[in-house]
Amino acid sequence: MASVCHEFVWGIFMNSTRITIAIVGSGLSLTLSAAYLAEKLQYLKPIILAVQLPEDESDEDFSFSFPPFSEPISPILRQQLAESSLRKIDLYTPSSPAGLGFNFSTYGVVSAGVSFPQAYQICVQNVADFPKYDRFLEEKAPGIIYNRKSVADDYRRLAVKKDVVLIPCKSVQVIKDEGKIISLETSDGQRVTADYFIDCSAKGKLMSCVQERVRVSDEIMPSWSVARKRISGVSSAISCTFKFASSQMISTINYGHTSYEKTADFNGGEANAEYFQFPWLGNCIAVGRGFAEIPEFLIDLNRILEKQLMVLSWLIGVNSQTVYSERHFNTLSNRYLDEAVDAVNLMLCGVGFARELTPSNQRRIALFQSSAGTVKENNVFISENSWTGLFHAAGYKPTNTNAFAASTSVNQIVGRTKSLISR
Amino acid sequence: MIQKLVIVGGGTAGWMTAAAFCHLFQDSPLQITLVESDAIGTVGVGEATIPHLRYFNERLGINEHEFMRATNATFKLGIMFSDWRKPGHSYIHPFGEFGFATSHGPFYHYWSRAHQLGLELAADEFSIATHMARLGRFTYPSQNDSELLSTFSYAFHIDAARYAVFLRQYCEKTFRNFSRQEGKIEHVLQDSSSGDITGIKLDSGLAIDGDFFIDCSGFSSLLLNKTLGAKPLDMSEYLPCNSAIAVPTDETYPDVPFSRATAHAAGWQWRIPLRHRTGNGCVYSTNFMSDSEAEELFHKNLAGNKLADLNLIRFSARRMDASWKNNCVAIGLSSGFLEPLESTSIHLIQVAIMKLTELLPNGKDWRVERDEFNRQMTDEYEKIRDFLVLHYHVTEREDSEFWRYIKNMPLPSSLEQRMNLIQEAGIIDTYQHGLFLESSWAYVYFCQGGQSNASHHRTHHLSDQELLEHLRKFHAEIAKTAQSIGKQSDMLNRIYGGGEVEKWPQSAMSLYGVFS
Ligand SMILES: Cc1cc2nc3c(=O)[nH]c(=O)nc-3n(C[C@H](O)[C@H](O)[C@H](O)COP(=O)(O)OP(=O)(O)OC[C@H]3O[C@@H](n4cnc5c(N)ncnc54)[C@H](O)[C@@H]3O)c2cc1C
Repeated sequence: MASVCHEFVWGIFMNSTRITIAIVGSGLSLTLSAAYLAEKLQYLKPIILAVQLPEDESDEDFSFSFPPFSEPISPILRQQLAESSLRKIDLYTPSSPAGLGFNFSTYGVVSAGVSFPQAYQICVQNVADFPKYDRFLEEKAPGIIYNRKSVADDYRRLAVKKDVVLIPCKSVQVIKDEGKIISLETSDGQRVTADYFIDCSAKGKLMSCVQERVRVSDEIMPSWSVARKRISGVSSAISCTFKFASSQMISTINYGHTSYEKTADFNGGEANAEYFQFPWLGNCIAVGRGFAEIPEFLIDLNRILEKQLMVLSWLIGVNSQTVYSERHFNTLSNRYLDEAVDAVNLMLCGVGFARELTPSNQRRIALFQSSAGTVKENNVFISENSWTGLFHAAGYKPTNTNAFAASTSVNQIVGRTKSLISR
Repeated sequence: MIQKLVIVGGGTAGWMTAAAFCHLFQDSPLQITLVESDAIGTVGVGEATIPHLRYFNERLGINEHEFMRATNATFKLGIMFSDWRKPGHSYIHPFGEFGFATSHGPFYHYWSRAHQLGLELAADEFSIATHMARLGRFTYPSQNDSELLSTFSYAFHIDAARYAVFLRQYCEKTFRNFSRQEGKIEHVLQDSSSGDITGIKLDSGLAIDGDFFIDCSGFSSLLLNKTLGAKPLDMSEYLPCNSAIAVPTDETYPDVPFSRATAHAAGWQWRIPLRHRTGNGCVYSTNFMSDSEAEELFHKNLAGNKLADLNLIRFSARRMDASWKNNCVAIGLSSGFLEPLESTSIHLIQVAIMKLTELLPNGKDWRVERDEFNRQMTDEYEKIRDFLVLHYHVTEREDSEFWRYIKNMPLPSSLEQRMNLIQEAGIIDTYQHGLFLESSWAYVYFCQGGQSNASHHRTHHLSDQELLEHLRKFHAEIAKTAQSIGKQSDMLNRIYGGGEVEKWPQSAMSLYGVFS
């Protein structure tokens, strides 16, 4: 252990019979995690220390979410929605290779027994100029854009109200022993000890002291750089342009705007898709951006963070032994990440930026192309409906349908499908 | 597009498949032929169902009361497991939700903590279906999701042979291109290069050709295993029961809306009360009990007069490595069987039919659909396997070699992690696709005596005292509601007598109620 003279020893300094959780990160990830865990663990009466690092360069100003909001993000978003300080977006439309929109919503039901993708396929096979797929998406769940900084501030206030101790600092140094984190030393000489260290800092500053990150293969997800630009005239909109290797570009305009940005200022440097194989290892737990790095379109790391926190709130402080809890948390975290990677990989392959589909995408696409079917998975973020929307948006097309849809009268299917638009 | 579909076998699997295809392809030129052999007959068991069957019937447009009358059905609200945890102990695994969830989390956390505090009420006491079952009451679930009576579901005890007849009539009525052929299949014809099945030849010399075949030939797995060489994957190390003796008796139990599964020294015995008779069977493992010992035990526990000779059935817990090979899909016992516990086999037939109708492509290249179908079916089987093993493994019984073996056998890793997680953190890991969800795992795990070392802090918005009071009050409300419901026999009399009876509620693909 380092022999520096410490001003304060948080954790040890405080009542040692209570469980102490140190959360390290910045921005919304940090304040959301702190407030949520303080709420959900309130009857455990933990000491929660939020070690607040300076905002990262890559911290975005805006983010989006879709109702129903997940448990962690909902209190503040609901409140802000009620106060009308949030902007609703009707459809989340990344400009896609096929020039189609895509949202996380549903499409209508054509008839019992014939699924929409099957019906749609029959329509385009039989009717010239049949309306594009995205015309049929129902806007049941409009997305909302929120200002990350303002939401982060609200969560900070909430956290403080729930007795979270904020420890702002410029940087932290990790003191570890045999792969276990013993304590943290902040840049201004404070020492933080805890039973658990939750790492939501960009690139997992704590976790990388005990474990190396694994890189997602370049074939599946090439390195990228991002350029962000405010869209003039729209106060809460920002355009994110992702440049992938070989200087091709894909542009996702998250916030209600659909345009294909061709030029942008990529000054943030290159990033690689990476993650920790064991997001919970010993007493260190990596969540959100502390756990993984991926190009954040379609599913941002905040959404993974929210899911991870929900799982964690059931596991922490329940038993001093955590072997199976760790395994459970790691399995779920990896499943969430896989789905996010799959979504991005699918889009990238659609436009030819990535060379290889992930094995699960191979199965999805093969089934979709063969007979417009959707694979049944334990989806977390993207429902079966939305996967189909994504296939269309990425430019994949089925060649046929299933036998049942094919045996149903074409006129009937076309009529019913068309009528969905007027509804 | 497939022109000629041949279904081999006329047991529950064959007729359910035929009915579904006849219904779905009503307007198509598809020709459907079902071949069955009176000489071979059917397995002759399979009388307890789960609520999903209602969904199947509803899709086919079947009138539920007509179906009940045709199959001599009674209602089933769950299964009573006696002597499983220890001799003398019994509980019900109901078709219903376990308590109610609060904004803080699922009910089982509350029950588990209350139990650790000394609550005397078992987990199954927190289901309205359990109470109704024990009291012999029955009513349809409410469609109002704020009511306690919306939190359960129901299935049927049916005469399987009559269900087959009922579905046969349905097929013949619905579909002009349907034909049934009686005869024993002696040869299966294959394309020499692809190995695809091209036709079958009956003992009468009649040849039937087809371009897609559904193997519902029961344990013989005539097409999938015997012809196409699918390999059985043995699971008997986890589920060692491999034999059953079955017999119907004349006793009836008009106010018993549940099946019974009573454990014995090397397996268990079922009792399924139908309208006109009772189905009985003794399931055992020949590694731990001889046939004659089983027979003796069976007779000792049998009530009423036998209506037929004993039917000895050999099986082993297994599934084929692929249910779909070439142009053939096996549905029913020909694709696998775990064991009769929890009545999952007819459900697996239904699931296979639904998946097949969803995936069967319009073209002739079905490799992708085949792989997806096989993947999904494997998943279904493995999840059910784990749930069945749970019944045997979590027990205090060590009074025979059979129970000692099961207690100490290695578990499938998926089940091991699931159980360890419950023990360590009190969490039941759940999934989207699969039959038994959180409530079922909680009922069976806790009622079998499974423990959790965790008392979840998220339930501590209630003090110990408040928690116990709340649960006792809730329990009293459930008990009172159940008391207010009429007897099953009254309801059955109205259905069978053609008297005035309310319409059955809409079905759902759920064990726990219309809304879950
Ligand atoms: C002991 C026991 C208890 C069970 N209890 C339940 C239960 O309570 N609930 C539940 O859901 N499931 C139960 N099952 C499973 C259930 O019985 C079966 O899933 C169901 O009956 C379907 O059987 P099947 O149609 O696949 O096979 P079978 O009923 O065996 O039908 C096979 C058909 O193929 C025909 N056939 C075979 N070979 C030839 C040939 N060469 N030529 C022509 N025709 C041929 C036969 O004549 C017959 O018509 C139980 C099973 C067992 C063994």
